[in-house]
Amino acid sequence: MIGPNGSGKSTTLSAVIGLLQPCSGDIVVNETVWFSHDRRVNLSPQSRKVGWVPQGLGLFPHMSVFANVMFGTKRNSNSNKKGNRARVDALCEELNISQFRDRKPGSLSGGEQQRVALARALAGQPDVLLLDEALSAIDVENRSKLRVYIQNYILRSEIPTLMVTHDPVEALLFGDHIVVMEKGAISQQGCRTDVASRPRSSFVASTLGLNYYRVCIDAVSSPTLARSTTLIFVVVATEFVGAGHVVFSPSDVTLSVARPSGSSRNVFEAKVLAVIELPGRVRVILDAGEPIIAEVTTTSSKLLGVEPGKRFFCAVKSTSVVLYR
Amino acid sequence: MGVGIISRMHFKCRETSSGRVIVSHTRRAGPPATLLLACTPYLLFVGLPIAALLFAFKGSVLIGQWQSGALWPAFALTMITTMISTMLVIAFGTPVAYLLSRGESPLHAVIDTLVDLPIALPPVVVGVALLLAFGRYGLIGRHLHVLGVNLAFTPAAVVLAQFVVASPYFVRTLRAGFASIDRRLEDVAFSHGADRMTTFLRVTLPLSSSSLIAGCVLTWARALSEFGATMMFAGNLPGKTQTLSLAVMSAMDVSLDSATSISIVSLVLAALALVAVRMLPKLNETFISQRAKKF
Repeated sequence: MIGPNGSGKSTTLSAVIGLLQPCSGDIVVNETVWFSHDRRVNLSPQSRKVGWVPQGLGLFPHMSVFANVMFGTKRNSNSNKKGNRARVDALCEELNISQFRDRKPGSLSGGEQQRVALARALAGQPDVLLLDEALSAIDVENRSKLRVYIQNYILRSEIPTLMVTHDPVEALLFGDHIVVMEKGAISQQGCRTDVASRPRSSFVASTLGLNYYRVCIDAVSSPTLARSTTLIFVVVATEFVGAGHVVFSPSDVTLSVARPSGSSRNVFEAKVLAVIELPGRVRVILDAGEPIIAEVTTTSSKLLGVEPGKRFFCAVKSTSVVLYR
Repeated sequence: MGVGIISRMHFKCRETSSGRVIVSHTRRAGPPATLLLACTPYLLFVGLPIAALLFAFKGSVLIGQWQSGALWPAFALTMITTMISTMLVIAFGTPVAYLLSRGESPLHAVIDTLVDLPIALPPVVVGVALLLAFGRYGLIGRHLHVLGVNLAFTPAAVVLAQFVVASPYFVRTLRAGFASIDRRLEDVAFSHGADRMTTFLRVTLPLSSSSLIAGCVLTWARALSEFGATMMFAGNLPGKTQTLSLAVMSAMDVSLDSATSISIVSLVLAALALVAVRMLPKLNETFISQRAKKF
């Protein structure tokens, strides 16, 4: 589950855990109804088998690592204590935290704390694992390492996992099914290739570095005209009318000082807002009523004299513009 | 000005094997003379009476009182009643502190005001109110009287008076402790199947332990200093309801010296309690620094 801050990701998670009661809808895990507004079912958080790794991990600072993980077995405390203990020992071993089982979480590094929190979440043999921004507290260097580690662990243990993140890249790496949330509602969901190749929100598109516009098609024609708020795109023929989305890669945008000739090209006059130097390339952010990102080679950027405040014509081939519903 | 402040700072540096300089202690120079001067009146107003008490104290008088056994009943009664009232405050005040730390509603506001009221009320008024409630002709007292239970002017009344007057200090302190806990930790406990009581005992209460202890000490100190409500509701009966503070007043009828020596006993007890509160953070330092690191 991805989305910008405040889009309702953690709130959704709270509803799954049972800390918040939704106004409508159902929460069903493995065919067990946890919540149903219509059927008036609302299990308490205690009776929902979740393994939750909250934002900031929520480790108990006054308990040892072992006691923290042991706390995760509270739900199955009716069963034998010995079995729980053996399970916790095995988990500590597996997640490589048994060497500091008697230490307090506060004395561990971020990655170590992360593994303790994961062990605690898994100790109760949950039906579903919930990870809330699980990796955001880890420094960038260790994040990818831990990400692979967790991913492998989840794959091996075959536990259904709902992961919340504000980083679409992380979601695309982890997720089989991706849910994009914006302003408290789901704006898109699907498999990762679908979300990555056909983003339906500027949030996802911008992190993938794509130019993205919400458009409206008035009539089926060839070529088709797709109108966004201020721009009109010429695209190859489509079969649908109404709301749609348009994306194109910044490298498909060419810049020129004079208006380029050519019939079926999309041409917008725009002002340079910012220039970002990349190795061998330059990313130019322009304003044409709506933002357009262009990527040109460093040589051509120098030749054109691209700098903030200057005006250019942005041209995009109609075949480069992808339109979808 | 800025330069002046910097020039008054001292750094103790040491060099590590890798050649990096580590600033081990930063210490600012003491407060400026003008600030100290501005603080002097306050320190004099509060400090002088204490100093006077210490100067007037005659050890021989205290030893005499102790040996004659005149001091013992008041001392014992004070210790026993303050211990009992503090324990009652812990038992009955903890749920109130938890309630107040969780949620905002008109009911919370009413309870909050009620909790604070004994701080603002003159203790004598609390004593009158207690009499009107639990006295022989009081609201509840008259029914208790029928059952043969008389609270007023008994050691139980001493405890009750201390309870009402001192409890706000406990509830307020513990409530702040509860409120400062990351609520997510309780949520995590719920999600692992822990019920509310288990969560409270295993997570909430241990994490508020320093507030709990500080609240206890403050409550005990306030119970120790209780005078007005006790005087009204429990009376000043030597050997039965006469606590140390009441004994001081009675001793004034005998001599200033004997009042002074009893006062010194109170002073020492109070000082011990307050030093204990100050020592707490030091005892808890490792624990607190771990918490700070965690979040």
